[in-house]
Amino acid sequence: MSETEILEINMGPQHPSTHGVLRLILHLDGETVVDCDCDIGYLHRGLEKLCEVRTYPQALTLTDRMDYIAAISNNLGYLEAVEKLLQIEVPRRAQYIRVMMTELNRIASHLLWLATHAIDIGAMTVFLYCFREREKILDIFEKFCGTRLTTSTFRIGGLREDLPKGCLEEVKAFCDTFPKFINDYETLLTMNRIWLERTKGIGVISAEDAIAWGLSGPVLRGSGVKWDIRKAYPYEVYSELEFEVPIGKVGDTYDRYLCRMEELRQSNRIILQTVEGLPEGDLKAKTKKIIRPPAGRVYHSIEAPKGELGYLIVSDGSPNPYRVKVRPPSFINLQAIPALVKGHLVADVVAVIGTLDIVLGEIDR
Amino acid sequence: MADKEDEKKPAEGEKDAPEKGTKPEAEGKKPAGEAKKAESEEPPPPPPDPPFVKKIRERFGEAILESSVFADEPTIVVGVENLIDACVYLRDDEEMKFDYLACISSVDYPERVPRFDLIYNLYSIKIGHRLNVIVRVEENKEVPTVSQVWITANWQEREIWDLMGITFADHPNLKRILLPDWWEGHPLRKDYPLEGRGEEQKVIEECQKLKY
Repeated sequence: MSETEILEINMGPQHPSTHGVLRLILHLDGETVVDCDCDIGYLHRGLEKLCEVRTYPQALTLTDRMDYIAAISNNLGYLEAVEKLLQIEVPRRAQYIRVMMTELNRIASHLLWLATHAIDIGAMTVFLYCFREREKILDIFEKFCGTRLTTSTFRIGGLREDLPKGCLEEVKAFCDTFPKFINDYETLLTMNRIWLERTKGIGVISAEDAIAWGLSGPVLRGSGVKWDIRKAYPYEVYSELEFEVPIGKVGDTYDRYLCRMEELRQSNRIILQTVEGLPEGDLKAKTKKIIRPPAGRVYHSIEAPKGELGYLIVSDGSPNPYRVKVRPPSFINLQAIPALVKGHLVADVVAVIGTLDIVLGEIDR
Repeated sequence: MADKEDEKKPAEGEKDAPEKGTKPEAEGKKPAGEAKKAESEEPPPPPPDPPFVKKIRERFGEAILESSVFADEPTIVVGVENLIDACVYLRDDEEMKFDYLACISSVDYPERVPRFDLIYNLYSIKIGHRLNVIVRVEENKEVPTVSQVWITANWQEREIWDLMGITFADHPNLKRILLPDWWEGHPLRKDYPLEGRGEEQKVIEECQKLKY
């Protein structure tokens, strides 16, 4: 007579597949996951409280450190919220360059997602290929603003300075060759039998559940919900650009993979449109030397690569924000992990964490 | 707030009151009391409530304490006791269908009597409109949890309990989420110092115990 009992085992906080310092407490019946708890907070740095003692331009540098993989999106969200509070209009040339850099940053983030997701499941070649392309994008960022990762390059009201000589050509050269690389990745993975077995039917979530759990980004769109902040509440010049928003059917890991791959192509398309349509003009709206937004509150969200990134900024008329609250997409997406992994095997937990595309800097702030 | 003094730029003691006339932010919620609203100039007329806010007012009447619009976002203020009814109505009614709770935020106004503001940002994915719902909470009073209405509220309310100290009644799992379990105090409150209260020493001691 053998008895079985539920085994409670730790996954993390140091674990190569948890993409950061994430601790999962798995309750296993054999190899099957019965329940899963998350323990987060290992990377909590108190960014929201720190923003209260910085001025508005200084707090921009703090926002980079949240989602450090796609730092430009964080900057954009924060600045747009402050500009909404100040009710100023960013000049068109600045908007086009901002969109160009944000979409490049989306491609960089998705490349890193694909690299780590694939290597967690076992496809090592894809990891190296994706990093090769990501290096090209990081070189473009370095040419544009001097840093590769935590850029802080936009300013309240527009940009700090114009594109340097040769940057636009480099962006165009990258975008012209990039679709071929996406085809390479798809050749390796999309119809690959091992990939299909590891990702089809794993981590399924229905559309109603996804909306109830508050998921956003490709995780929500993989379940068939057509919701993209760039289309629903357009910001910057997205209303003038043509692009499609891919959605999935079933809501499993494979659908989310296909969504993100298609998003790579669509981002490429957007960047080419901004390169071709770049207008002349100013780069920055006129703002006072010390930014003092009028007292009020604003909530502004953008479509970051990981999902809907929202900033709620409360100002009281002083140069420091009174309260900055960040709505991190990874935090809300991670909440759904128990619902996604129940009944799956331990190896599938790794696939699900990869498909949610979490970054702990954003979860813990 | 000794830390704020270091970062503030010198001089310019005048506050921002004259700048308010530039845009209809007069409709935005003003922290630190409504007394700031008393301007000498005529404020521009407030933008009208969108039709669905009118419908909410018809349904709830007195329970909606205030409503305003700022930058195309309508906001309503409800009392704590009507929060769950309002949320269920907003989620289920055919013309509202606010099925997506984007964010719950908390703001601390230590000098004001309902000390905290809880702000719920709601979207409707089907219809496409947005609404902010504000609840004003006094210190040491409980707020009913909305995690039965929108599951996503679970972790967000835990974070608010952890960092701001607002208790949610009937929450399935109200524990600390970002800070360690042994932490005392609620750091995002305005009276909590930025440098902490010596927790760093405790972390060092805990780590030294693990040395082997």
